[in-house]
Amino acid sequence: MNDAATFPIETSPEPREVNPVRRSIANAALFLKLGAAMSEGVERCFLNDTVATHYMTGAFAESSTEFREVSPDVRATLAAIVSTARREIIEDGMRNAITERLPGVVAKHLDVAIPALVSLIESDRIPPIVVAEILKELGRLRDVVPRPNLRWILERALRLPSAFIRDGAGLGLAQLADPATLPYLRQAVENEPNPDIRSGLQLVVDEIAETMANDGTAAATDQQA
Amino acid sequence: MALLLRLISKPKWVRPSWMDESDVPADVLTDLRAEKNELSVWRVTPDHSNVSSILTALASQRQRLDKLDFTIFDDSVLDGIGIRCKPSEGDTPHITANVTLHADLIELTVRKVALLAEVLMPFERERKSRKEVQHLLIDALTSGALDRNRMDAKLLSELEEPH
Repeated sequence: MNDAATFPIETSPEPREVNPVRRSIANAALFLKLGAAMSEGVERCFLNDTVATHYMTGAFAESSTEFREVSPDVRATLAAIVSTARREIIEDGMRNAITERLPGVVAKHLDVAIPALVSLIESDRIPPIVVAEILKELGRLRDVVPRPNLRWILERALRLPSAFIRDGAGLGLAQLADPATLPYLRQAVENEPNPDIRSGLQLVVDEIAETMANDGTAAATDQQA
Repeated sequence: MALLLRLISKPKWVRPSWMDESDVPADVLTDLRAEKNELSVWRVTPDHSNVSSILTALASQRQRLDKLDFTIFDDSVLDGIGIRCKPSEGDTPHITANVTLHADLIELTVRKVALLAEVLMPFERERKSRKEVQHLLIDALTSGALDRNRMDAKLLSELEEPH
């Protein structure tokens, strides 16, 4: 059976229009929650949300009841995407279920999709090649997802046991191209036990540092002009 | 002696901690997926001066902009495992590289592919980042080395985005 038919993204509940202030508050709350998850654990922080938290982060819903209706749908959609990706041959530079469907779901259901993805990534139930593809794709969503959130997810994945996933996290961070990730990436290079993965992470460090240097040069040139 | 280049995915070649140092991860077989019992490779000059053209050819046949992982190996390793290499025409948007640089490892069997994985394991695996690949493709499009009509529309649109 076609997964798209089973979990049609198009028929998921449409997000409501949210005013910018409310979205900012929701994003700040989400980021605080991501921070809390570092010490308290992802499952505890995201999967057992209180009604109050739903109100705070519920940019798409005004009641916890509605949030609960949306959340399983989004999680089911993500599960369907992952399930399709598992059966595909995932190759660099080629389209797959992750590259084609994940960005739309994340953009549409940001507040629910991100915690659900963190939970999936760290569940140890998905093949590392699929997780790596998710991480790469998340890096490409830097204009959709708040950067601190992406940074948090990707940096956290750098510590996971699978070399494939650590490599994917590095590639996601390369896409993000955020100078704030440099200290963490440099630390990851030092700690990385595998030479192949280490050289990949070093490439990311070098590229971000070079971009920073070029931006600095450009800024200095602009000032002189 | 000649050098050959094969597109791979670096993390697949990382041995898990439980694996013996003399063994090769089974995942690498997906990097050596034969078609008609043949595997596509590219002929590298001793000074590596044509590697950029090869990588451009490989990147130009993709659907999206992405990093490229590859390994360059000495073709003498093929003799020991009975694999033959035959020049053939490539099928990429890179007009010149297709004709001058492409080859196939032919008459492969399951046993030979497994042996190939073993002999390739010690060779260095390299990476061109997405950004480097982007520069290669833009330069090749500008110089007319690539047939734009044979490239994926989405890849072309990614290359045309401001960078």
